[in-house]
Amino acid sequence: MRNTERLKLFAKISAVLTGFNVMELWGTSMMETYFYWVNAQTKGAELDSFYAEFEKVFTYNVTDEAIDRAVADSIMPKESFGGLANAIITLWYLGQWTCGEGEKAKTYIPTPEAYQQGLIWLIGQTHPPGAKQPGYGSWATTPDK
Amino acid sequence: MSDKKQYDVVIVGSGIAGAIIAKTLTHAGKSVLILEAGLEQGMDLDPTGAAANYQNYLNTYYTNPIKVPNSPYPNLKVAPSADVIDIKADTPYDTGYLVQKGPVPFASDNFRGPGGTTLHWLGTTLRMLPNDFKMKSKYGVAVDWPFEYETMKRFYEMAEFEIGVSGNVGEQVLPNVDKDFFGSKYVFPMEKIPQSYMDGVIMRNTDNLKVKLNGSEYKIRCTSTPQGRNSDPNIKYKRKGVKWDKREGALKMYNGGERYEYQPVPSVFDPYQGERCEGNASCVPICPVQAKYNALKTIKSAESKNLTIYVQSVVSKVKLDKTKKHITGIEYKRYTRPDKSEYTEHTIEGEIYVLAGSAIENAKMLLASGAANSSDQVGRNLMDHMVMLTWGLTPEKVYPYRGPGSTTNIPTFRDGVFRKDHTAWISPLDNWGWAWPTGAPATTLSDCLAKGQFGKHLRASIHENMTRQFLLHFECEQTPDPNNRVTIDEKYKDILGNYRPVISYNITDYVRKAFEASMTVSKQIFEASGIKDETKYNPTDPDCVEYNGVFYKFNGAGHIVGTHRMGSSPKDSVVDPDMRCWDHKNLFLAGCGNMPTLGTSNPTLTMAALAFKSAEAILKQLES
Amino acid sequence: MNKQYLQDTDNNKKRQILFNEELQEAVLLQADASKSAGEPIRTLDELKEALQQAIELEHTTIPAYLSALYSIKDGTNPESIKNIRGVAVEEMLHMVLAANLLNAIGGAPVINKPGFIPKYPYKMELSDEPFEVNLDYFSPDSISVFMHIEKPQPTNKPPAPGVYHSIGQFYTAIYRAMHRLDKHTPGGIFVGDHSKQITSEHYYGSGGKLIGVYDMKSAHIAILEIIGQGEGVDGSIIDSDSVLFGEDVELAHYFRFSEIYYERHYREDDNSSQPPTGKPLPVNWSAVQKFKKNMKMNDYEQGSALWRAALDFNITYNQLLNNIHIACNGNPAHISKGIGLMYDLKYKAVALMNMPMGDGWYAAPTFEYVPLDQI
Repeated sequence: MRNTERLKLFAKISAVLTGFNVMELWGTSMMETYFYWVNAQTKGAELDSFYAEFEKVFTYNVTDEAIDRAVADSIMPKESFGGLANAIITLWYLGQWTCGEGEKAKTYIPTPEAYQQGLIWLIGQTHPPGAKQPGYGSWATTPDK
Repeated sequence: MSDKKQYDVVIVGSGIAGAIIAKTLTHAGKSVLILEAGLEQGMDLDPTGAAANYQNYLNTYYTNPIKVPNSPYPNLKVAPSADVIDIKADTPYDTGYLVQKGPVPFASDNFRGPGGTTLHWLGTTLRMLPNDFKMKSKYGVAVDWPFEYETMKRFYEMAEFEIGVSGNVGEQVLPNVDKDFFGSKYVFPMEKIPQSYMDGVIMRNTDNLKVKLNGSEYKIRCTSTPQGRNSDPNIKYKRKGVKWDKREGALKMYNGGERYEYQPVPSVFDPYQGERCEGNASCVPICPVQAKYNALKTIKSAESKNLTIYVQSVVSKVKLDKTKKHITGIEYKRYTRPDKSEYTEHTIEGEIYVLAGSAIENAKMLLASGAANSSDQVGRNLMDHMVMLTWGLTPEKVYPYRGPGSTTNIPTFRDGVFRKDHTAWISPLDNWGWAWPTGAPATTLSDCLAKGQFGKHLRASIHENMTRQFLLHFECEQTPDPNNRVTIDEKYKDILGNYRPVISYNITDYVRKAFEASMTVSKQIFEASGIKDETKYNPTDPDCVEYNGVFYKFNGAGHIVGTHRMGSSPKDSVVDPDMRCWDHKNLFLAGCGNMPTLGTSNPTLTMAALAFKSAEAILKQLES
Repeated sequence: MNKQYLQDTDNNKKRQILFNEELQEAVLLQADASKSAGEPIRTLDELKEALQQAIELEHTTIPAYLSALYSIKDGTNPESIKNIRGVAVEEMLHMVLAANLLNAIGGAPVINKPGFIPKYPYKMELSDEPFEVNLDYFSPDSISVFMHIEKPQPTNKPPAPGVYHSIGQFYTAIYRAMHRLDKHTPGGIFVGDHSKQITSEHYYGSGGKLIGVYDMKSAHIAILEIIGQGEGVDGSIIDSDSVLFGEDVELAHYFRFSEIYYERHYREDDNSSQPPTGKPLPVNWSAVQKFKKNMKMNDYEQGSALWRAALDFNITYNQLLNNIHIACNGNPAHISKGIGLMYDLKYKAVALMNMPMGDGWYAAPTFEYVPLDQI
């Protein structure tokens, strides 16, 4: 599969995993950075089978509910694909990527933007501490518009 | 080799204490040299250079996965900083900069670099209470200060000007404090920082709540917290500065004209950045717009023609004359590469010397020099606030992770007769969710992922949890204990051959009892607010201590205090009430090390007030 | 002539001012102020109309400046960002100052109506040679248009009712009409409610000062504030050798754009008619999200994620304008709420500019009217 097609698939996968739509993810400016990051950090065979599994999910399921069910069954279980799905979610949510396990685990934030574009802050109706400031006094009211 | 230049005053350290003294003296026409251990670029006050350096700090912070207070700043091998990531549960160990002898590891850090720890202070600017100055005579505990609150009042006003405090005087209803505490007409330079939405919910739920403690009943009261960060100027505030009145031999505040309006002090890198707090919610470790005060602002407003700054200059010791009564110079090592043990040695001379390198560094320098220690108090009485955290989920959404770290506090237990039995504490409401105790929201995510959640379902779960996270502090006053101390040891040196601090530290039952007491208060507050308590302490964590069979985890507050205390007698204190060493007339000590006791206030404001007090004494001494 | 091209502010900041008072008086009041014949603005109603136009005129550049500003990739071009941002915030200040002027004479500024936001490309008519202002990304082209906006050419053609040939001419006409009408109206024209004035207490983030307008004297200062930083009364002063530069001097708008264009800072002894010769101001022209000029909502498929994001941006922009409208109509403290909306606006614009259109271009905010009561 060519990179441009894979990138499209990565966008679709990311949307299913994060619960944000593809355009919202593009809006973070992190799509390509994360795509190449995941490519570089994951073993080729594992990555191929991960994409293949997702292609299957998208081929045989149409509705969001069906896709979610299929992902829960074949992608999310911990032993599947070395926890790659969770790693991708964590990358989008926190801008972090952890290599290794236990005492040897090392966590990276690929770029300053990765941290600043963490989706988890949007979910909490706030912003990453130290970036995307909301302005004087904004904290005195609810963030609901 | 000796530099020829002679200065009126040589100051070691460019943190808030050193900066205030430097600013005050240079404006009074005195020539001042500051020796700063940190990197040259951190002292760049040219807008372009300062902006570039600050952006580096920010990028380091963004990409550092562990966002502890020192995470944005360079930790230099040639002048290392104490760092909380080095803390381990089992003492002794020497794997960090601090050599921790224990039995309990010292839990706080500071930054050795231009601007000092004000780069990552929270910004809370509470004055100490009158009874804090007389713990011994009032409660039979610790020691009295050599003067009372009244003496400090005008210096507090200077400090509140210099830092630029935002707050509402009328709302400061404090235990055992009368109207004269601020004076009837006093206002802060700026209006109060708006209290958070969460504060409002908690205040509504705890309004007039009566809690029981030790058989007595206390009414819980929340108040807005004065802070050193910019808000709307208070048009009633007319003070324009501090100046040396030569005739009266005193520092005086002066007013601007009729049309004068106080102007919030912006960032050092852009006059239109930082004029207001913009809600970055990252005061610790770094305010991106510098709306929060830092000492670089004070250095920038010093009289530059009278100020010389040597950077990358690490002081090893002060030199004594034969009588040991006078300091004749300061020895320092200048480096060019922060990771190499290459340096040149220099001595600099002045009329008067000021050590302002933090409580730990000051003690270290004095011990290394064999100076100021006839009382045997140098390095002793190391103190901090013990921060016990309790957390839970609120029934309604309170939207944390927004605004400055804390905008409201519960002052109810800052003073009272209970201080005979256990320490006092202050309870700031924390605006940043469970970030401190649990590492949320990263742990919020990992908890949900462990349940197999993803997509919309994951979003919803995180939203429900994250928007309800409530955190309360119990910042307990540690009292002076001569065995809690900084020492030095030939075995432990850094790559420039300077001593590393060796810390012995423990928590007395007087403090531990306050953990137990504050936990009963926490439970009552949570219950009244319908908050589901999620507090969990792990006995194997660092700084988890036992009392009456129960474990309590405390955190350091970054309030490093008391290693060269001030007193009224050379027998049991290091400095006199002007913060001049009893043993050496031309050596002054600045910073929190001077404080005999800590009270329940974050100590920066008091340190700043004390810096003005000693600046006045230095000027008197230079003029006489 | 007492030349005064620098202004000291309360903050000990120095700002360039593109006028001097003597010249000002000569230009503004050379004609017999008692006669309205030949003047483009004759009645109080016409003056109110002209001030409403002034508000709209000050606003027209804002979407253009913001489009360029937000297209710069995060973490790049800090100095260009600082310069453009500073100008944009001051244009907003000028808009509020124009509203203060209108409020001072008993008018009611309208900032939230359909048509308040012009259609881009916007033809700048206040010039002998009209030119187009576009919503475009950060580039030498867009910056040179900004320089053009901030450096209007002097004109020889006389103004007529509703017809002006330079921005300086327009404000001169307003000034003269105010002066004349105030003198000849019993009780004067400054009858507006003082509590409607927006003053400096709530304003920050750039140079300039929000001046409350209560009489001719404060109106004079307000008008000079508007034209002093940007437009000037005529272009000639910019090209005079009396403009002072220096490291601690805050430059007038034209020079701030010029620094970006020439990728250099001005030096103290630079000549204002020549490009800057100071230290380099590095500009990375390629660190930009590129979008097609003057995008419209119609360019997005209705109901699509892109369309929703563009709509969301417009809602925020209209909320921002509505907020200023409310502030200028009796609720001055409201103005500070605009800061939060400004930030929100930026994050939404930046997100849009990262969304691919599928044809190699990126999406962009369209700055179009949305009726807020219908969403």
